[in-house]
Amino acid sequence: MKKYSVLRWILEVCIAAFLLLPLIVTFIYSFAERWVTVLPNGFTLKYYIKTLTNSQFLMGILRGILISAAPVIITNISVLFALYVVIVYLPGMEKIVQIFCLIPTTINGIILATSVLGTYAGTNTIFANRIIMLMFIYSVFIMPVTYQGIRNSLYAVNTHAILEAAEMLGYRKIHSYITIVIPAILPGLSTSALMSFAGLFGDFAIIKIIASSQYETAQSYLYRNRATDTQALSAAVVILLILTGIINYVVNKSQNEKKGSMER
Amino acid sequence: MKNWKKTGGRMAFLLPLAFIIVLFECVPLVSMIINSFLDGGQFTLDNFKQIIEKPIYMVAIKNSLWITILSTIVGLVIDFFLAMALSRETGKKKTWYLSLLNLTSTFSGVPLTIAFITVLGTAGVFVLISQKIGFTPLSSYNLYSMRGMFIIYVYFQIPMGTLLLLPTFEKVKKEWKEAARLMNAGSIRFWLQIGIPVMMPGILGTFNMLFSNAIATYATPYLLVNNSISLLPVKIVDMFVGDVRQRPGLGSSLSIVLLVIVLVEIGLTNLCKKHFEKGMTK
Repeated sequence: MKKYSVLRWILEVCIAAFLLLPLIVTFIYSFAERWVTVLPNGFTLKYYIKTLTNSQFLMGILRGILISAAPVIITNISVLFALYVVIVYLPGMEKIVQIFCLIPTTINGIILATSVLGTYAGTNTIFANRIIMLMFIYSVFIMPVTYQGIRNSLYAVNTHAILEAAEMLGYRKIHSYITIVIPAILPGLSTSALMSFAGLFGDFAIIKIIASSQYETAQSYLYRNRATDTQALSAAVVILLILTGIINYVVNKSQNEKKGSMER
Repeated sequence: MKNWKKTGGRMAFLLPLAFIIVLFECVPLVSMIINSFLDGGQFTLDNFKQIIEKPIYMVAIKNSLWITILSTIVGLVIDFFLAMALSRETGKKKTWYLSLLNLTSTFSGVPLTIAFITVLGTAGVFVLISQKIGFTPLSSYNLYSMRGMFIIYVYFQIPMGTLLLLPTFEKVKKEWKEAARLMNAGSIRFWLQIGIPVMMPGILGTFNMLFSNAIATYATPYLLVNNSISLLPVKIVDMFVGDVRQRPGLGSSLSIVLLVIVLVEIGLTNLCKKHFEKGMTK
């Protein structure tokens, strides 16, 4: 048995080293004055100052946050309303809604984006606007995660029974849905929302297809500057990584708290 | 009349979702299928004929399949053993490892590729160090090739696959292992005959996720090998927004090829899954 635990240890350490390697090297590289020999020659903060005062990069982050947050809100609200009708009045429709919400798992972002672009680009409708196109493509893209998150939470709190009880006490169903059920599932909902937000924030393919020149997010900024100052670029990568790391930490913490409260 | 008004009011809540799904999922998919058979407004099979006849598209498809299948299998093997090791860990070490996997699972696309360029690119830190100390395997590492890029594909398969596989290890009960040992079955025999077949639905599901993740990977090949090696996602995007002549008809046909590849793969794994699930109910 001892032989196995040594093997296990070696495996875990090797993979952890492989996973950490690009992170650590990028981190050190972004602080290094110059790094062309075995060891870096001195450390500096100037690349961080340069990156953090670069308005293009900061605007990129801001644009990325805006264009990722809007679809998350749109999708969550529309799925919440649709599932209300489905659970309360049309239980038979559930399967159909599920199929349509889960189709985007099969059609990946590239197929989705190119098909929307091919359909609406150049038409004289409001959908030809690239920002609107991007927002709705993102909404469809995160549909599976959002749908599953909301559906599971709604069944976990037994929505149907709550709404019936509230109705007997004289409240309208939609009223109690908004004031009781939605606040009750909000923790679960925010976890899936943050996960989809992080996914959208890291997207490059869809934004490249739809609006690469008109709407520059942090990802497209990195791409455009890929050949320029590599150390400032590393600093930008580290900053983005810290941002996604924070989101990740919040998601994990809320999930662990949920587990903890269930065990209690 | 009043009743109709009431149901109509209820149905209004379905409208936002229906609006998004119809206009940005159904209509585009149907129009993509129609577009793939059109050239200048005429019905034609030319687009698909070109894909088969022109080597450049077949090479793109082959390259994509090659790197996707290989990285999925290599990734899955690593993920399997890592998840197996982690399923036996407890306490702080496991929590730490899980946070590492969670963090690196969001590390993808452009930032990941730039990090690898920093480590292993032409002027990458490890390449320069190896040149200085004369470590030949790394000193001429070529990240800008299929083989070189492969390491990034494996990198993003590890956290995702391991996190997906971990729960399936809980299906393998400790009692079964003890029973197998009592009956003189070794560890390897136990995993081959009991453990892996029980976990097979979970493993195949993970295979699905890793495969569709890798085949749609765009940022990494676009940044590294855009000009020298063609891959299917890069070719598709080029047809719509490329610098050269744009050909949405051909792009739509290539998208359909990509869709068919994913559907065939899902169909095949579902067939395997059925086989193993049947074995379970017996």
